[in-house]
Amino acid sequence: MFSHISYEPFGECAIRLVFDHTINEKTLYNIQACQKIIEQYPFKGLIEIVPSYTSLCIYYDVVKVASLLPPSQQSVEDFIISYVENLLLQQYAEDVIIKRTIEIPVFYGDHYGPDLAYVAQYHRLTKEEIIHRHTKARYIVHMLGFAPGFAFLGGLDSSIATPRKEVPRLSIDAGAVGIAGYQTGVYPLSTPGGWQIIGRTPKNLFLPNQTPPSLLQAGDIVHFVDVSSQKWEDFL
Amino acid sequence: MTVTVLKPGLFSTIQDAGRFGYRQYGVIVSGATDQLSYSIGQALLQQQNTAAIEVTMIGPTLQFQVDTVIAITGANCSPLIDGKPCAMWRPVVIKQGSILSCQVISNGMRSYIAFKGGIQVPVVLHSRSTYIRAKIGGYNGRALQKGDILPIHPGHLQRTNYFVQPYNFSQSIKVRVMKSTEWAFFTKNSLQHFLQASFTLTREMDRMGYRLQSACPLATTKPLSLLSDAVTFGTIQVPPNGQPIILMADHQTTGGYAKIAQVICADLPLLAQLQPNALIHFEVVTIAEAQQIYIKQQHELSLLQWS
Repeated sequence: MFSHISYEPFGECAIRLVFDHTINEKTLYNIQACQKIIEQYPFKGLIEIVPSYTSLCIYYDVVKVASLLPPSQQSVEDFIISYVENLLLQQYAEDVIIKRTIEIPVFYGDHYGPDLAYVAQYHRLTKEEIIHRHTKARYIVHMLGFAPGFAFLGGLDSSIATPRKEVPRLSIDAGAVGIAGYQTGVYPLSTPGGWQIIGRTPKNLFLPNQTPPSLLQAGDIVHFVDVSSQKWEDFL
Repeated sequence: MTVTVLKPGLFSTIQDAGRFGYRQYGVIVSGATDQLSYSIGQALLQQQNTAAIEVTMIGPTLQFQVDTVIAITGANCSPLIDGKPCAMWRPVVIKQGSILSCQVISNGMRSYIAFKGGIQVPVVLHSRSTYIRAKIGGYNGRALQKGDILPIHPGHLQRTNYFVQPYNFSQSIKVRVMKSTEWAFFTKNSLQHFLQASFTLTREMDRMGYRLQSACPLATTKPLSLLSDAVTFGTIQVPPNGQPIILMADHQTTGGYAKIAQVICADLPLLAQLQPNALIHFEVVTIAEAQQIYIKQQHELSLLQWS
């Protein structure tokens, strides 16, 4: 299952493992399995691994890796490549993938989702229909980045894909649920941004006092649940 | 046992070696921008990776309610203790009641004030570095303000009669880079320009990144549609306007612009000390050369640590 990895040095203290060139779930699970195996059997000097849509970036302490290099190895990159290749040959990845399903409660529309009416108008649909299509879909977390706890989600119903706002808002509340083109996601922190905001979750996405510090992790299945008829306070 | 901030300076934050292990969750590394000056400060106090103050352009004024030892490194901030000049790049004994006042930085951008034992702010995700956007780390997740009270243990050193040679920070520098992922997608002219022209550092320069400007925008041979992918300190990205951005200590964990080159780790401290309008020339080295240069730099640092 790891037969198509290409290895690209990324500066002098990182190496990228490239699995594919398109976004798909099979690649996501291969990347996850590979990351788990390396984290389970780390080489000395490994700092951390960052997954993205189609690759893994392995950061390492070059001073440490170089000092431990066996005499037969020519370079730090060659050592890491052969270490990873050997590891992947020996390991069965099927059993390391755990798919979690996370439900995210969302208050849609009104002051929580100031752009819901615009998104409905843009698609000539009712607000209820936008909410229905947004909650019906099954989303998958491909990677985290941009902000702490921010998940890049795949799976938005393309019939509600909406271009970004022409003029970005100076401040978007933490928890805002938005659509930008074919992406949907939740802002973990209050930031400026150009997404169409259709709702807001009372859940914290960034959890600095927990391990891991993020509600969502790569590989998670996400469902948005419409809780607009309930009280915001009940979720705090 | 505390140090009180009488004046915060322009932008003073608490930083250490950085917050590692959480980039996969979108948590940035942060940490001292000039890791070399920061680490020398640590070595002068015979310690590693403690919380220090990163000073930007205008230094703070601090009052000590504790006997301790400090070391100030990085750009020259003309520090005074109770009105008398205080040496940089060496351990300095400070008596309870003394006032340290740092001035405007003259020859660079950032100075580091290290305290024996470090500033005892809480550790968040294995680091004391300030992450302002997420409001975590450092002093309440923000830059220092007037009246802040920093917890510091009493500190003592057996010997304080040593120093290191002050670094001279130039505002016209050669920065060594390695070719990065999208290097080969740039036009011949763009690559030639990248290696021959001088790039000016604009005023849009902070701990997140530096925007550069040059006469000829850099272009790829065809439009690239790139997926968000890992980026790191020193990654040189080229957005559609063709003017490069160098990612600095507070860079985001992932990015989607074309990566033309990567600054070698050993030269990042030179960038950290640039002021607006500084001039940068790029020179390409191989990854093996970059590794050797960095290993040598770290070796020299470790000699200082144990001397």
